[in-house]
Amino acid sequence: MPIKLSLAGNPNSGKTTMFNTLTGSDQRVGNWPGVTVERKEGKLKGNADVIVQDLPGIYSLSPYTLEEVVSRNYLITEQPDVIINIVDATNIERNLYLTTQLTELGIPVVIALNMFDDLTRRGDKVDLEKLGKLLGCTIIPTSAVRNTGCQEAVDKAVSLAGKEFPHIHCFNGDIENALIEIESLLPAIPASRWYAVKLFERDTKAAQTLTLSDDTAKKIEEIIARTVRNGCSPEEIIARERYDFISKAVNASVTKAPAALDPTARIDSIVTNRFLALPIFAAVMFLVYYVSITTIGTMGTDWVNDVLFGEIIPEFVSGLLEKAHTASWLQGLIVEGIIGGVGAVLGFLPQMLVLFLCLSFLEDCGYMSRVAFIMDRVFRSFGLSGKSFIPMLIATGCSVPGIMASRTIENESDRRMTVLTTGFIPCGAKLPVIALIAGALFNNAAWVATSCYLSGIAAVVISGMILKKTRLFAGDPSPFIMELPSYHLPLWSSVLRTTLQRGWSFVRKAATIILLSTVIIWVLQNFNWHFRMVDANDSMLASIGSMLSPLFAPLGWGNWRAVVATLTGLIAKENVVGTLGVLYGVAEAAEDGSEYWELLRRDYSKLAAYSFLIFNLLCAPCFAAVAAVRREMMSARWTLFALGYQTAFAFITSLLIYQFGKFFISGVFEWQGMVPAIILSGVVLYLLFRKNKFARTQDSNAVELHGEELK
Amino acid sequence: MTWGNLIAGTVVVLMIAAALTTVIRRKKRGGCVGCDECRRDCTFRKPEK
Repeated sequence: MPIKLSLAGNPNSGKTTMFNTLTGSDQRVGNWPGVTVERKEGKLKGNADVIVQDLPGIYSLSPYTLEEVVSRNYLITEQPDVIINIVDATNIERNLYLTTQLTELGIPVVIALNMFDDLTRRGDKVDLEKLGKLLGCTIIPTSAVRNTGCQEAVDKAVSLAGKEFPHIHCFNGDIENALIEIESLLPAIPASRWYAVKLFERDTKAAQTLTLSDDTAKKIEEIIARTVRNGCSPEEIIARERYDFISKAVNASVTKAPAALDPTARIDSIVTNRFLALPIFAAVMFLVYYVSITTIGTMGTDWVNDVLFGEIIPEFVSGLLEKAHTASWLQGLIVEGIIGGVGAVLGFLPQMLVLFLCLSFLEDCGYMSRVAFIMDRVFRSFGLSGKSFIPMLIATGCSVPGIMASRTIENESDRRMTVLTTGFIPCGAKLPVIALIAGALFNNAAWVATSCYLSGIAAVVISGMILKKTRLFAGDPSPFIMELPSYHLPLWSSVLRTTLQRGWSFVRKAATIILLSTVIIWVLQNFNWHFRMVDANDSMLASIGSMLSPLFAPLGWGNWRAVVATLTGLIAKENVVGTLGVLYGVAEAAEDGSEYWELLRRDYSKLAAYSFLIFNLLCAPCFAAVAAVRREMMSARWTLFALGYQTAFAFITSLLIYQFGKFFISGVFEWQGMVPAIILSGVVLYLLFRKNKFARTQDSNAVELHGEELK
Repeated sequence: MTWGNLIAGTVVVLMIAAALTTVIRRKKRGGCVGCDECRRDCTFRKPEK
């Protein structure tokens, strides 16, 4: 039988980093709480009989959010053989609250005092033996990031696996007696001590799992009533007792260095400043996009686009195919279809790598956690919570894990709203679309990409303002409590690994789903409905695109090629670029000397291209993200609502950008476009600034409830 | 049919088949076809050699 070893601890204490170290895996880690929302497992390196399980972070065994339920249920019902409790050494007191609960489960616990190097650097000292004795567990100092102490912690855990583990911590007199009495009423079950505490706290979920007889339940209630006095709730009493115990244990074993001027506090006084925070955030994002889209990233992209996929590969392959007397249609499929489509997407890899490198650096050093804090202030004034920003932060890589990360939000309507709006944030797959338009139409101007990122955030805020005034999403935003990690220089190995992982995912996607799509697009573009090779304008694709193009004409890009690119973007957003690459014949364009970007400039004005870009950023996401929305919403109707809302939002935004933009640039009032634009902007303004009926109802409800309580 | 057509055609068919198989296999294993940052299909992906 393999040994089941669970890693449990507070959010952002380094569980996944340790999991990766122990298993050789490369699960996503992040310098903010809530990165892991599902249980993950892997085999221990060097001992395949040990299964290591990474659990979502929890502050206690009283879960409030969906991912916390995953951890509690696993620990209580599935009973691992041993637990390694990862404790953040820089915040021992708060982390030990969970430890006091874990030691009541009857499962051996080894404490990995993680980030111990940070603690010693601060000058603090811990008497590990003394603290271990007080808590009843062995404590091993570790640094998961630097891979120190991890093996020792595992060896100790494996040696304890499956053995008996009596709890050491006792509550004060009456309470301890009450707990012993309750425990004696319970059948012989694992974690009976923990159940006794939970029943004392009147935890209904724990009581339901035990299915106690009425008689036993009555006796337990009598014990609680006899013990609890002074009007305190049993839960409060237990929490206070635990904190008293932790406080005494920490005072006896931890020596803190005299408080020095903390560099983190000094940096935070500037970057989280009430007035400076947002301009600094905008400047940082501008710099990130400037470096990746305009300068360093562009050098690589120019070479890959113009030379590698523009000349070297197509010329080499064409030459080879011609020498072998290959049929012209097959040459077309390979050179224009596959190389043109996949190459158009892969061309943006250098820019993506630079962007991912910058974002990984910002995440790992701790700045992005501050952004969530900064955004909480902004979001809260519009009825949203900063908690919604964490999934959006994750979504800058890919929307799928971003949507999944919404599980950290306990309020159901806020969670749905987050799932619905996370897709507005430009993910990695949308970056090639941004880079293409910025490069082809705007001479690689950094403001284009920055404006796309800020437009995504603006779309979230506007949606929050509109939807919070509807019955479906009404309610106060969830409270947002987040521990801000200290700033630190990230490990370059970790930053590079994240960057390369994301880059590799992109390459793999290009070689699979994008390749398949480009082949289909090429066939549809070169054949008519009778399967005869024809000119692109008479093809199946042209007839499909032309049928839908009038719909998008008011947005400035009623061109069938742009419509088809948008449609294929639903499969994967990079497909927008791949499809345009095939339809505008990247390889052909290079051969006859005219550039692909030149062809785009001929077909689209700057305004139309920007409207096309915004529509593709904000409209329904790719199929993978739609599946994630469906999974998280757990309802087909909600999923359809989400897709409909996003597409309608994108349509209206692009329409307003194009129509008002055209009016301001040319000064000509075209009533066909301007009248609907004026009406729609009026509707949007009304929805934004109308009175929130539900806010008033909630206030009065709150008063009524309060009144009832008083009675 | 020329040798060129045969070889080039086979390469294209193999490429399409490989891409299609990867997509289907990933879907079957519960992963999405998008990025795999979530690594939903990658548990036990690096067992001890």
